[in-house]
Amino acid sequence: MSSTQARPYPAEARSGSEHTVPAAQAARMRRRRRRRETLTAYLFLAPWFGGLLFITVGPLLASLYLSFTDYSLIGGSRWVGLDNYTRMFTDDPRFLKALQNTTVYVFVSVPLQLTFALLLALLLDRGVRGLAIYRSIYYLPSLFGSSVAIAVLWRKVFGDDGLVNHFLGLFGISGHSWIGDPSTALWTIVVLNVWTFGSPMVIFLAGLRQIPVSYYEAAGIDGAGKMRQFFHITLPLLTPVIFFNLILQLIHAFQSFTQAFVVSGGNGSPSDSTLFYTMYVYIKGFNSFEMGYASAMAWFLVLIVACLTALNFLMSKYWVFYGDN
Amino acid sequence: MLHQQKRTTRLCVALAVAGGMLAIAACGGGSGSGGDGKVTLRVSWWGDASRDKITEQAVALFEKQNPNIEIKSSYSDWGSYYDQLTTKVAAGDTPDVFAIEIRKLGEFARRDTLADLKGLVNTADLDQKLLTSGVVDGTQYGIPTGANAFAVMANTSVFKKAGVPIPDDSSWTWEDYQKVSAELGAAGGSGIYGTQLNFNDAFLKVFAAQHGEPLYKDGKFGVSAGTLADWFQLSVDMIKAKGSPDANLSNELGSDSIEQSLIGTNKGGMGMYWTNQLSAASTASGGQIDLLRMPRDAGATTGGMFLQPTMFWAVGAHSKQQKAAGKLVDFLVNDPQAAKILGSDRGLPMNSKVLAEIRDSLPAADQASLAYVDKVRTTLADSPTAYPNGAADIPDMLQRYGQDVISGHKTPEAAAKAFLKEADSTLS
Repeated sequence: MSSTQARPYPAEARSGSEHTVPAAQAARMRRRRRRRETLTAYLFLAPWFGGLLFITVGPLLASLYLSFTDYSLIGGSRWVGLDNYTRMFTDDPRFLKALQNTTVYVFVSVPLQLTFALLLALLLDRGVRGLAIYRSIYYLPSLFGSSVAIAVLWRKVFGDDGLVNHFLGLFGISGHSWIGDPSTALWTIVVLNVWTFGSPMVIFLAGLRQIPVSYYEAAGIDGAGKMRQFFHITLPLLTPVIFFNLILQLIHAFQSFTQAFVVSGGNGSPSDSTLFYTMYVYIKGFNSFEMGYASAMAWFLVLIVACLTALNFLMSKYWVFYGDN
Repeated sequence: MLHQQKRTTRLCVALAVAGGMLAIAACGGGSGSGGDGKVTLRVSWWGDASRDKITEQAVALFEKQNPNIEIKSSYSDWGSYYDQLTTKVAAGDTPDVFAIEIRKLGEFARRDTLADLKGLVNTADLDQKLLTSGVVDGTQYGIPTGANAFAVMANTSVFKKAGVPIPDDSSWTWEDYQKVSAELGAAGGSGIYGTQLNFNDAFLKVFAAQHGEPLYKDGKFGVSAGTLADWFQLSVDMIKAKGSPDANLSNELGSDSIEQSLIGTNKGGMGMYWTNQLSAASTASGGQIDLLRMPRDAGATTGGMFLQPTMFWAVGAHSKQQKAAGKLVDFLVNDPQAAKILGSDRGLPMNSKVLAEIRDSLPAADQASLAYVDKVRTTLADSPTAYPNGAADIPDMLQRYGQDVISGHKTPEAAAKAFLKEADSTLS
């Protein structure tokens, strides 16, 4: 990630000042040294590069190949062409259900989460005392929000005998098992994702800090109220950060696995209402031994996420404002 | 100056290369027999800390008795066991000896990953009915580690508190079961329920047997649409009679462990479980849990109950040390000393000779389970034979359709029909 430009070494600077080597020779030596440095750099990169090649790219390509076969994980495989891809849409209602669940989850929870994160960032940006502490506290859920422990806790909170129902009981409302009801189970996981607003919030906070105070001062003098300032200064200048958070959280949300896996007991229960895309891929691959089909589904997800991200970038022209245009 | 820089570069290169070599070496660690005629066996199982400990102890004893065999064991929790095992099999790195359960035995055997154990393991003293469970297409691929029975568990303290007598299970019907549950729910007060619903395939197997139908037949689902609908209807009726919690809570409980079940938390009178869960249920509730026979249809000629092998020991088909592997399996199921260490951790011991020796030293829950098995032994149906490929998906499917039915999304008849259609494409 760091700058790749070669920086002059102190030794080099000194050899230049001594004037003992002819210019052409110095240039040759410098070139040779640079080549050697590049070689060193590649050697240092080699372990990482090897890892990328063998642990990431290799399996990636292998799974692409497998997605055109009926590979069963513990048996041989046969080339089936596009069968796996057509089967998803013609002969697998559970796949469509998983796709539907995940889509609802992504398109409801991500906007909610970002709105929440932005609101809190705005509140914290007003110079609350002990900002660092608040920031850390609100960031915590992001750290362990996708852990098994929190998902187990979620089961308890939204269970029949859980915190939510006890709270509702105070107002005389009798609740029910939110995670056992097929029509509400998915929403408990949406809430869980919204709750992990900490990481976009921290990024928003940093973005808010980038906006020069002078803009607000000028607007204030011109008589713009707080609302106006928000919509005409904060929001436009924050759009690149919003865009970044949106892309990041969309990709993240499509890959959600742990929460749904634990809350549903690993099978999308009740009645497949929490069957997430990645979970279905896992079930097909490792429970049903249909690794070829699972690979095809995984690649289709890559396609969805890629298309969505591309669409986002295209749309960004119309609403993302970079200071320089 | 230049010289020093060159030396630094050279050092860097050396370090980088060394790092790379280390990484490569770490991937290499192979197995096989050592140079001194010593045989190395790789053994895999799933379990919790206590199972890992006693299995390690038994394995150590085996190593002591067989100094030329070295055991490399690897174990994981249940959740990730098959992921690891199948990945190893896919990579051509199948363990020499490993644990497997009936839902996967057939699939592994038919895919040529298991060795024929005939002649490798002495099976003379094992329960012969149970032993047939490990046979796939005429070949003994798995040796049962022990047995389990599916039964109704009754939390005696809940019954007592509600003032309802524990039912006589010698001839009780599904109607009796529902009546007692409703009575218990009504008398127990708020937050106390009669029975916990479940959609376990063992429950269906018992129910189907009472209708003269097998769970699987010729690689297909063996239960008819009518019987399956009747089975779903049992749960609907149970909720309607208030013998069990509403659909939502039932769904929630369906993915909880036995520790959090109604009988485990003293919130309910009954539930259906495997006998090897008795000790967990008793510990969780702190009270006494009784084992009752499964109810039956009023006109049924058979109770349909059966012994299920808890799991099997199997040997990798391409293991180069099959003889040694067989020896280890033989030791684990036949050796009295091993049995003393292992107890009933992998099911009630079904080796008559071993059992006679260790019976008195078994924990109370196991003795109760053994007494229960003895009580019902004469009425037991045949143990299940290896399931068709894809059978591992059936339990989750039953639960899913069951939840559809009790949540009111499907009628029992529609669910039965849809289930059979999906089962047809899942099984092979």
